[in-house]
Amino acid sequence: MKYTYRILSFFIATLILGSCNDITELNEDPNRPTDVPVEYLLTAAERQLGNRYYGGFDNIAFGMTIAQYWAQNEYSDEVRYQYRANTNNTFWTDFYTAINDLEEIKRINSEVDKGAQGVNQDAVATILQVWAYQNLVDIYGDIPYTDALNGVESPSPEYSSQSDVYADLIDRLTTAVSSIDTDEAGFPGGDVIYGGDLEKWVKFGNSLLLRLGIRISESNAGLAESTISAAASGAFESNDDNAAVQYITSQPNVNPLYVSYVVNNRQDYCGSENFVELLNGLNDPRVAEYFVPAANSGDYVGLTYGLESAQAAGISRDAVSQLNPQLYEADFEGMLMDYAEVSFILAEAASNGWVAGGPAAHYAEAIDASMEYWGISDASGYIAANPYSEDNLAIQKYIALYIQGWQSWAEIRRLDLESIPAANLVVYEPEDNFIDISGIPRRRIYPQDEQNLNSANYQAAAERIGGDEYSTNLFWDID
Amino acid sequence: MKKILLTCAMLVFVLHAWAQNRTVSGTVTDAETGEPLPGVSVLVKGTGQGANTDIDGNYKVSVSEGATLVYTFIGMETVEEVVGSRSVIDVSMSQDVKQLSEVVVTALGIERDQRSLGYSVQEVGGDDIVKAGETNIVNSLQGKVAGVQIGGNSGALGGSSRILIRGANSIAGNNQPLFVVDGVPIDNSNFNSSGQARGSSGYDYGNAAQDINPEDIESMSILKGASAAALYGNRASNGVIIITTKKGKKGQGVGVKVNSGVTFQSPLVMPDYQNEYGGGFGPFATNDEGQQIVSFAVDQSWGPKLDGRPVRQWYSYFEDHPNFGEETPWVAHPDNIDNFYQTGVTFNNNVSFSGGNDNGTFRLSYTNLDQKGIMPNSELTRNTINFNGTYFLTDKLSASAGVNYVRSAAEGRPQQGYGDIIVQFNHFGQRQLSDAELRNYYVEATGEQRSWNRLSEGTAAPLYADNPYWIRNRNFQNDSRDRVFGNVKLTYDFTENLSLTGRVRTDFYTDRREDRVAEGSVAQSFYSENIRQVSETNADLILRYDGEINDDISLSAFIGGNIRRDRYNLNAAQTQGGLSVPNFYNLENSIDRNPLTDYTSERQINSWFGSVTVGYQDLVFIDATLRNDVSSTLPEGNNSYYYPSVSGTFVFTELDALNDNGVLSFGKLRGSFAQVGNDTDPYRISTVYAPQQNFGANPVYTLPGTLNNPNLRPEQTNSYEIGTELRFLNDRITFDATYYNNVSTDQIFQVDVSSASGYQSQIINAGKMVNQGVELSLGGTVVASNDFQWNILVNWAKNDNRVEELAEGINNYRLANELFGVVSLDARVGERYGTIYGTDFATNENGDRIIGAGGNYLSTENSVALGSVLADWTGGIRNSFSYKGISLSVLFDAQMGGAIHSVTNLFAKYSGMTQETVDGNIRQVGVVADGVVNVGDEENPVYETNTNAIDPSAFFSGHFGLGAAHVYDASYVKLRELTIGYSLPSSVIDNTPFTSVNFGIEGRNLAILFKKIPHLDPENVTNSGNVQGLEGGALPSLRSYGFKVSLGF
Repeated sequence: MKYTYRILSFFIATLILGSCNDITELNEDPNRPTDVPVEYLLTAAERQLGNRYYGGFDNIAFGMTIAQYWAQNEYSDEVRYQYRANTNNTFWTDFYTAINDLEEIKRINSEVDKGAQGVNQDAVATILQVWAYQNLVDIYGDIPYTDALNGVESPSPEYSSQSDVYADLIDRLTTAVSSIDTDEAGFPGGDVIYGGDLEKWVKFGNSLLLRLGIRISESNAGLAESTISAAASGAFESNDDNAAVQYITSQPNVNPLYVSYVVNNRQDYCGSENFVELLNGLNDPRVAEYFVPAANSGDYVGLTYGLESAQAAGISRDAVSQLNPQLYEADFEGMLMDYAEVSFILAEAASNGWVAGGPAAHYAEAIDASMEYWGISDASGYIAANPYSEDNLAIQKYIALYIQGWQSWAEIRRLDLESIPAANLVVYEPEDNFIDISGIPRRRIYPQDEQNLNSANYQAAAERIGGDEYSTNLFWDID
Repeated sequence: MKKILLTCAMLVFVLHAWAQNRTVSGTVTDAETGEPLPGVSVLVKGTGQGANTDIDGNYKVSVSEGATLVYTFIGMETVEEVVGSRSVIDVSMSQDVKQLSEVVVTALGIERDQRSLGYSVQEVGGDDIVKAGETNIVNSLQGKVAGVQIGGNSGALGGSSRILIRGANSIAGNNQPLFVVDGVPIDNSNFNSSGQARGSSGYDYGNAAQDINPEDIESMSILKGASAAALYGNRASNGVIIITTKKGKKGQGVGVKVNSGVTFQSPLVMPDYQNEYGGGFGPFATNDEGQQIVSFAVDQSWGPKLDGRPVRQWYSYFEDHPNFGEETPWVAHPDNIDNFYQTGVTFNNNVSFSGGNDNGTFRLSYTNLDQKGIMPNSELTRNTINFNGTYFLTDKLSASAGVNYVRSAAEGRPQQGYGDIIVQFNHFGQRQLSDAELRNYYVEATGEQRSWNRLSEGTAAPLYADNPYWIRNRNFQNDSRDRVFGNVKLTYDFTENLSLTGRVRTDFYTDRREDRVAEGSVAQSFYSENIRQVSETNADLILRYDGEINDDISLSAFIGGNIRRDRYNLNAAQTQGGLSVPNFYNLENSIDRNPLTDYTSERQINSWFGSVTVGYQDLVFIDATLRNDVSSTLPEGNNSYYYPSVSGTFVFTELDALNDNGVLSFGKLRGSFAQVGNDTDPYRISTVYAPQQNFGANPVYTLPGTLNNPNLRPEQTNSYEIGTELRFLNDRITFDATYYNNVSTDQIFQVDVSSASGYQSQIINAGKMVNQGVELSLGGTVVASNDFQWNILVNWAKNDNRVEELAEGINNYRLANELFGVVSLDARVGERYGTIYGTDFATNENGDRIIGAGGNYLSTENSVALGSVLADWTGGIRNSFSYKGISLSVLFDAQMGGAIHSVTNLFAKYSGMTQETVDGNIRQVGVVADGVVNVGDEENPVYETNTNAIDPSAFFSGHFGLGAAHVYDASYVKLRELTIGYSLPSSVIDNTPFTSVNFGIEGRNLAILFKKIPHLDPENVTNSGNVQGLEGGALPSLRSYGFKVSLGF
C-alpha cells in the first residue's frame, strides 16, 4: 500500500509542479532576436533590392527582353509579352519589404539618440528607398506610398498619384542628401554598395535627383530644371562613383544571372537581332563585350525578336550569338546607376539649357564612360563617327544601358525610341489574344496579389491611371 | 521469419499437449427455429482453445477435467456449460436483445453504451482496418464513416492522407482531427514544404499518424462533433479518432497469432498520351553528314510525325551503343512510361502473443512492413513493436503500460508535384523516347550523365531534363524516423464506484531526412540534412465516480487535470554552391558556406476538466462537461479559455407506448451543444528579426514577412448537432441521421496582405466561418439465412462551408497561389472555403466563348470564382456477403463536386504530350476554337461563329494564363475495396495445432467508374494541410491487390 501512495503522490506532484511554471515565459522566441544592429538591416535591403532588380524573372526575363537586347532561345513567352503572374508578385513584394527594412533603420534610430551618425544612416536609407520607389513608379505608375509601410494600421494601403510620389521623392531626397555630414560616421559596416563611403552616397543621391529630374523633363519641366540644376554639380564624376551591389563569388551573394545560367542551368537568352544589327551597323566594339559570336558562323548574329516558341526552338543555339560569359560571372556587379547615365542626363539637360556647357561634351563623356566600363580604351573614333545629335543621344544611351533593362525600358518609353528608325527597335504586335497590347508596353500591369488582396484600392488606382493595361502611359511618358 | 514461425509452432504444441485430455462433442441449434447454427465459437473457458461449429452445427473439442465451455455467436446470448462428466453437450442459443446496446469508446477512453450518447460516434472494427490492406490507417476509413472525407492515394511511397471530419472548421489552422492511441495524442505532422502543397516539387513524407500499425488496432472510434471533443482540448475541435490497440484478455491463456500479407501496386490512372508525333518543333534539322537530327534541346512533342524514317537519336552519340553514329527509325514507343514503372510490392508480416490470468494480461506484437514502390529504387520499411500489459497489484490497484516503438525508413521517395520525373513524362518531354535506351544508357563509363535532352548535337550536357534513370539512381532522397509512444497508468479503486487514475503519456520521435543531387545533373550538385525532434508529453489525474442514486437514476462523473508539453526542434543544413568533392555527400563538403536552420519551439497547456452524466432509466441521458485551458502561446491575461458542452439523449422506444411494437425496434433522439476554444502557434505575439545568410562577413537580419500581434485572443467555435437513430424490423434496418452546425469566430490566422504594408502577412484575430451539414447512414440485412447473409451499409454526407467575416479591410484570406500564379486558392467573404480564383473564358451575353483576332479564346480581365475545392457530397456503399465460411465485401465510394486546377493538363497540352493534341488531325488542319468572333466593333458587337484554324501549339500554349482552361470537376465514383475472406471450418482444423485459419484476398482502388478530369485521378492529395485542389504534377494513383493469411494458435 505504501508503494501505491508513493506512486499516486508522484502523479499529483507532477501535476502541481507542471502548473506552477510561468508558462508565458515559455513563449519568448528562442529563434529570433528582438534587437539587431541597423547595419544588418541595411545589408538585407541592399541584397534584396539588387537580387530582385536583376532577378531571373525580373531584369533577366522582363527587363532585358522588353528593352529588346535579348531574345529567347526557347520558351519565348516574354519576348511576346506573355508574362507569368507570380513573378510580378515577387517583384512587388521584395521591393516593398526591402523598403520597409530601410524604414526600420529609421524607426530604430528614432528611439535612440545617435546624433549625426543617426542622421547619416537615415539619409543613406532614404537614398536607397528613393531609388526603389522611383523604379516602382516607372514600372507601374501610381503606387502605395504615403499609406504604405504602416503594417497593422493599413493592411490594404491606398495608392498615391505617381506625379505626387515623384515630387515627394525629389523633396525627400534633396533633404536627405543635404543632411549628410561626411565628416561624421555613417554605417560602421554592412554597406555592400559603397562600403560605408558617405561621399559616394551623396553623389549617388545627387545622381538620382538627375534621374528623377530628366524623367519628368516633359511632364513637369519646371521641377525638372530646378532639380537637375541643383544636383548636377554633386553627381557622379567617374565610373569609380557608380552605385552597384558588389556581389561576391560565394553563394548566395552572387549575381542573379549567375544563378540562372550556372546554378540553375537555364541558358535561355541570346542576342536580339535588332540590337545585334544596331551594334554591327555602328561597328560598335561593345558587341564583343555583350555577346559571343555565333558558334556556326563566327559572326555576331541575333535572333529575331518576338518569335513563337516553336519557331525559336527550331533555330539552333549554335546559329545565334549567346551572352558573353562575363555577364554571368558570379561577382558581376548589380548596377543601380552609373556615370555614363549621369553624363547622358547632363547632355540632355545642357541641350535644354538647364546646366552649363554644351551637350556634345557630356555626350562624349558618356560614351567614353560606357566604353571604359566595358574595357574599351579609346572611343574617340567611335564618337567622331557618331557625333552628338538628339537621336544619337537616345541611341547611344540605349546601347550604354545594356544590362540595365529596367532603366533602358523607361528611357525607350520617355524618348520614344521606337520612332527613331536608326535605333532599330521592333514594334512587335503579338497575335496572342491574352494580352491587349500594341507595340512596346508602356507599363507593367499591377501584380495579381494587389488585385486579390488590396482590391478596392487597386481598382481606384487602375481607374485613375487610365486602366490597368500594358498600354497605359505613365505621367512622364508623353508621346 | 521462418524461425519465429517455428518457435511459435513449437510453443503451441507444448501448450496443446498440456491441455488435451478428453473430447466433448455436440450440436448447437437456434432456440427459436431449432435449426443448427454453423460458425458458433466454442471455447474452453480460460484457455483460448476451442473450435467452431461446422455447417451442421456440430462441434468437437478437447477438454481437461473441470472445464467450462463458452458458446458465443454474434447476435445470440452467450451460453456457458460446465462439462462435468458429459461427453456430449447439445446447446440451443437464443437471440440477444441486449447485444445491440453497443459499447463504444468515447473521450478519454471511457466506454459508453452508444444508446446513452447525445452526439455522433461511429466505430470501425480492427478487422475492417486490417482487411483494407492499407499501410496508412487513415486510408482504411475511406467510405466507411459518414461525414468523413478522406483524401489519399497519391501514388507516393508512404504518402500523405488527409482526413476531414465535417469539413474544415478553421480558416487557417489545422483541420485534421486528433489521433489518440490508448490515450496518447499522436503527432500527425508531415513537414512537407509549403510549396509542395500547391504543386511545387517536393517529397511527400506522409502524415505521421501512419506510424500507427493497423495490425495492432482493436477498434477505431470516430468522434465527429466538438462535444465529444471538449475533453481533449482545442486539437479535438476537428474531431477525434480514438484508437484502442489490442490487449491481452483475462482468463485467455497464451495465444499466438500470425498474419502475413502481400500486396501489389500498379498505376491506376495514366495520362492518355499521344503516339503519333515525336519531340521537337517542326521538321528535322540536318547535320554536316546529311543525317537528320532530332531537336534534342526541345522538351516538347510538336516534332515530326513518327513515320519510321531514319534519324539520329540521342543515344546514337555514345560509342558503346550499337547504333553509334547511325540513324535509327523514328517510331513511337507507346508503353515507354508504363515500362518505366515497376510493380510495387508490399510485404506485411505480424506475429503477436497475448494472454492473461487473474493477475494480469499482456499482448506483444511485432510487425514488419516492407514496401517497394512503383518507381525504380524506392523502398520503405517499417518495424513496429507494440506491447500492452496490465498487472493487478492488489484488488484495488492496477498498473498498466503500453509502449510502441516504430522505426521507419525510406529511400528514393518519388518527387511529387512539378518535379523531376513526372514533368518529363507528362509536362515537358519527347513522346518517342524508348524506356530501354534510357535505362541502359543513362550513364557514361566515366560517370557523366547521358540525357535525351542534350543541349545540342555537339554538347551532351542536359538542358532541362535529367535522364529519369539518372534521377532514380543518383538524385535520390532518404529518410528515417524513430518513434516511441506509450503510456503508463495507475488506477486505484477506492470503492466499486469511485476510482482514481493517473497517467503519463508521451509521443516522441526523431525524423531525419537527406536529399542529394549528383554532380552532372541539370541542377547544381547538392546535399541536405533535416533533423527534427518532436515530442509531446501529457500527465493527468482523473477521479471518477460511477453509480446509481436509486433504481431509476444513474450518475457518473469525473474531474481531472492535465498538463501538456510540446517540444519541436529542427536542425537543417544544406550545401551551397555545389559539392567540393563530387558525389561525396557530407555537409562539410559544401563549396560555399552552408545555410542553416536552427529552430526550437515549446508550448505548454495546463488544463482541468470535469463531466457529469445523469441517466433516467434507459430513457433519458444528460451529459455536461467543462474544460479550462491556459496556453503558453497567448498573451498573459488572454491565455485562459473555457469549453462548456452539454448533450442529451431520449430513447423513445423505451416509452411504454412504443414497447414491443413490431416495426420500430429502437429509436432515439440526440442533441448537443459545445464550445471549443483554441490557442495559436508559439511565438506569434512579439516583434522579432529574422536571420538570413551572411553577405560575406556581413551579418544579415530582416523584418520577418509576417507581422506578429501582441493582442491575440483565444479562438472560439460554437457547435451544435441534432440527430436520430432508428432501427426497424428487429434491427434488420438501421438508420442514423445527424445535422450539425459549427460557427467559428475570432479565429487567429496569418492573413496575406498587400506587401505595400511592409509585410506579406499579419497575424490577426478575426473572422467567422460557418460549417453545416447532414450525415446519413442506412444499413440493412437483405438476406439472413443460416448459410447466407447479405448486409448493405450506405453512408452519405453533405457539408457546406462559408466564410462570413474576415478582418476589417480584408475580404480575402488567400490559402495559396498556384505554382505559376495563374489561379489562387481563396477564402473570400461570403464564399465557400477554398475557392479557386482565376481568369475565366470571356463570353458574350449568350454564353458563347469569344475568340480574338488571333483565333484563340479571350479571357476575362479580372479573376473570378472558378469553383470550390470542397466536395458537394461524399458517400459510400458497402455490400457484404457471407456464405458458410466465405465472406465477400465490396465498397464503392463517391465524391461529387469539388474543383481541381491541373498543371499536368495545362502543360501536357501545351507541349503536345497527350491525345487532345493530335485528335481530329489538328496538327495538319489546325484548331478551330469553339466560340464566336466579334465582327462588329467594341460598342456594337456582332458575333459570328469562329472558323479561324490556328496552329495547335499556339492554341494550347496560349491557354497558359487562362485559369478556367485547366480547372476541372473532381467528382468520382470508385470501386474502392473488394475483400474475400475464408475461414477454415473447425472440422478441418480440429486435428491441427491451429485454433483459427483465415485467408483473405483484397483489392483496393480497383477501378474508377466515373470521373471528369482527363489524364489524372481526381483524388490528388499531396499533403494533409488546408491547401488542396492545386495539382502540379501528380504521380499516377495506385491500384493494389494482394492476399493474406492469418493463423491463430
